[in-house]
Amino acid sequence: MIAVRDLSKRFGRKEVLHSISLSLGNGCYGLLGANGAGKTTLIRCMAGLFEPQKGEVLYANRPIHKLKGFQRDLGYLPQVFGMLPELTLYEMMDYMCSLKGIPRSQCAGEIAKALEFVNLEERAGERVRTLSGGMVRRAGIAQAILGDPKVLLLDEPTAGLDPSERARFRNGVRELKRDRTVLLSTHIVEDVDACCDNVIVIHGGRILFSGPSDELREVAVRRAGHKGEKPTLEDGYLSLTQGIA
Amino acid sequence: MRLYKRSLSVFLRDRKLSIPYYAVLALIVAMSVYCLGSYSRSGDVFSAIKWWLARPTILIMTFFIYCGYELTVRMHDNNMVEYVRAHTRGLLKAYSAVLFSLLTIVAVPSSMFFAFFLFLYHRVGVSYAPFLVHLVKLSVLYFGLSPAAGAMLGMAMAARLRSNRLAVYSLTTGFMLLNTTFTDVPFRVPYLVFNSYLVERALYYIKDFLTLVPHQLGSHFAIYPIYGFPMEPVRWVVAVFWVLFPLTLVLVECFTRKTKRALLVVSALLLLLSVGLFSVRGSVLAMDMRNDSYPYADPIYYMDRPRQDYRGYEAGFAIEAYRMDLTVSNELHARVEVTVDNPGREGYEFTLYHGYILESVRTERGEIPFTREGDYVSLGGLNGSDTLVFTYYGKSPKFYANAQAITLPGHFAYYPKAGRSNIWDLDRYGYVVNLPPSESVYTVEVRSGLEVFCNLPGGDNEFHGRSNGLSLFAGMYEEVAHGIYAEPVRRDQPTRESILEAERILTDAFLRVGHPDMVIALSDKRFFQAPESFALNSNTDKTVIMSDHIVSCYSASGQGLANSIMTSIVRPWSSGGYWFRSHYIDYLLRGQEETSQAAQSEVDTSLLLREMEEWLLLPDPGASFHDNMTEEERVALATAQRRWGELERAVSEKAAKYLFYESARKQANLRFFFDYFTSESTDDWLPLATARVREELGP
Repeated sequence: MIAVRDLSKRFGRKEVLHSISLSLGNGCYGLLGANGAGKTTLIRCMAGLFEPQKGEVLYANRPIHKLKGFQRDLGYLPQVFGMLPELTLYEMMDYMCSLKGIPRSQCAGEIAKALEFVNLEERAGERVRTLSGGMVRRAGIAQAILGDPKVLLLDEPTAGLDPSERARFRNGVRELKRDRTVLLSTHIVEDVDACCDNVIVIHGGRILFSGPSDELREVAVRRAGHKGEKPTLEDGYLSLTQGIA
Repeated sequence: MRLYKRSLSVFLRDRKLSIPYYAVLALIVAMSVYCLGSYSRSGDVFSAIKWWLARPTILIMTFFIYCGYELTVRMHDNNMVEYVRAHTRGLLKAYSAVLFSLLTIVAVPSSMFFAFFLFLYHRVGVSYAPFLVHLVKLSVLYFGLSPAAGAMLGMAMAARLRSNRLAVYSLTTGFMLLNTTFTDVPFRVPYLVFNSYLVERALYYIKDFLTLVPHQLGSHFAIYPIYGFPMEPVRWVVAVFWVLFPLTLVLVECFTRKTKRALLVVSALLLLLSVGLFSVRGSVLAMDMRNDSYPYADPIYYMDRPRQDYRGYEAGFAIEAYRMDLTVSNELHARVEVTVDNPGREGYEFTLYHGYILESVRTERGEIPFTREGDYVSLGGLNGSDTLVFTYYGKSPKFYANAQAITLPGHFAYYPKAGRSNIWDLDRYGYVVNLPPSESVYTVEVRSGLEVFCNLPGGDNEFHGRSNGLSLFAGMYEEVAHGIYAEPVRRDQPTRESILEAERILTDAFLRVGHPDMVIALSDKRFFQAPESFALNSNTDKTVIMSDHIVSCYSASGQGLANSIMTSIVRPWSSGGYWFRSHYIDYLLRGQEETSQAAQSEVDTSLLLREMEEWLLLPDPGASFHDNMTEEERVALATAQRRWGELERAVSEKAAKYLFYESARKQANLRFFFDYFTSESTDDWLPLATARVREELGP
């Protein structure tokens, strides 16, 4: 559904992404990488926020900058998310509906559904300024899923969520991934382990691994000679990145 | 629409924005009330608007920079830009919502000003459409476009500088100060300290381009009804630029790739176009302390140049006829054909004010060479031709001609005048009344969007007739009565009655001094009330009498007009004696009427004589000044100056009272001093007056 072809991105002299190629279909993809690995840059390129120096991002086999409908099909949660504190949560969601071009008649239903997904439906009438940091993060997830987007790019979605909300989020993602592409960028391997069938490991702007979660676990067995219990995704990730280091 | 509503809600719910906004609205109401009160007290509508509404505009504009910035930067402060941009034209939609919210916010006070001006127009009660149009334009330019530009600047700074408030508010403060006269002090340093006129001009050029509120906070300049508030085309260009240019900078942030590049090109072109148009702004009123400022430009220009005295200069020829094609757009563009009465001379000299750039001088045989030296044009022979065509353009800082108003009096050399004549009189500190001894035939066509009023017969800006000076006036100007032209919004308009009264007073005075030949038939001449700016920084041309018309600043009462006309006639070549002359005119024009001051007590003539002799012997304190004075010398100088001043006042008043009111020979004295004042004598008045008093009192 969404693919990255030979993508390179440079800021000044520093090349952050090196000829990255990926292809993502329906399902949940976990984008794992250390701080500064290039996860956010890759996601921003995929959301069309950054123009790469080389390569392109394709959606339905067409470059996204030539495709008018791409942004309608995109749900995006940035790493740092905020809202206008003077508005109520409902008004803010309505603001986002308007930005997304969702018809007014459908907005109420879409907002209710999104807020229910993040367990904020009872807070709809409250001013954003009264919400906690975690609630704002959940509101960010809610705005991303407004309008039922086909592609969801979520950058650190669980940062700041309490354990119960993280669990709720994981369950939700399992629902969401059925008929859409969800790319979940995080350094919390447990979240990826819990929700994603596929994992992309990025390190130093290069893709180290891209494939099913089980294959990453196998890497742990092959490279580090993991014995005993079934290796976790974290074991696979660590054995992959430590080897590089 | 939903985004707009939400954006407006943010503004109204944020106390840091809404409370100051409501305070500003309340302030505008208060300012309007004060303006109305000021108008009711003084009757001067322009002064009231200037004090209470126009000058504080920059503060309102600065407030809208704050509003524009703080409302827009919220998206950056709250990390919204990234995900807003992820939507189709997301940032454009969000910024558009902010833009329309800001325009709504600006529209409220602008509408209040607009409504107030409509009310004020009805309150003033002058049924004069150009005044209404002026007020409407004022509300749009000063109170609509300026705050809108402020809001746009705030938006642009938010889009470009994001949350860098230090930079934003530093720029805002700088921008605000450039729209006040407080920057006059540093901007004058290059000229005053380093004598660099060019640097001063360059600094003010930049300041002018950043000036959105033409009548600046701190300005002490009056607004004259013929011109109104400065709203020349260049002001609109600048205002529209400061609305559109920031907008393009905001839009650049909303697009990528080709559109972004195209918008950058558009903004660059907009900047170039505006600077280009700005550089050909032509005649505008510079109302600050710079050298080019309209009351100071000429005194400074002539003070800095070698003194030339052309009194008594004979041109050797006269101009029989003028055919003028004048175009008044950004400045005066002229093609003036002159016919001389003496075409056989080897050379010709003309006077044309230095602000007019002479492009060519031609005869029917082609272009002829000329030499330009300040105000003077020198030509060789005319090769048998008797007509010359001068093509020139330019401006005078004081006697302006532009799309807003025209004040070109006939005594000023805005068209070539025969021979060499001074433009500025350094001794009398004023413009020289430059009129030829004989009349010329004028055929004049003025191309202008304004209705031009002229001393010659005609209409539709075409005039023809004979005079010794061509005066052109336009702007908020009208024929208020038959043959009387004035600013309809001005309080002290001349009337037929006041002119007749002045004529009666002057006729009586001329007969008393034995000069029936000097009687002026005022009521036969067209009367042009000049704006009071004519009297600003010039002592000589408050009233000018030409062969067929009069141009006068002060003409509300017959007595005042007579006084002004007599002052223009009774003008000694000697310096000093201002008080004595002033008292002389007072006694001359009041005739036998007793003034309350005169009736109080008789002059102690022996004391007067003692004071006269003391003053005669007193050295001029100014002459004893030098840089290395001791403290004792300074005290002595201050004492001498004080005594000089006391004697000047006392002797002038008492001598005039005795000679022209109490004396048995007062009529002879009036005649004697009239002849003295109108002669070319450079003798001082004090010895003359002392001798007259002593003669009357005997040994």
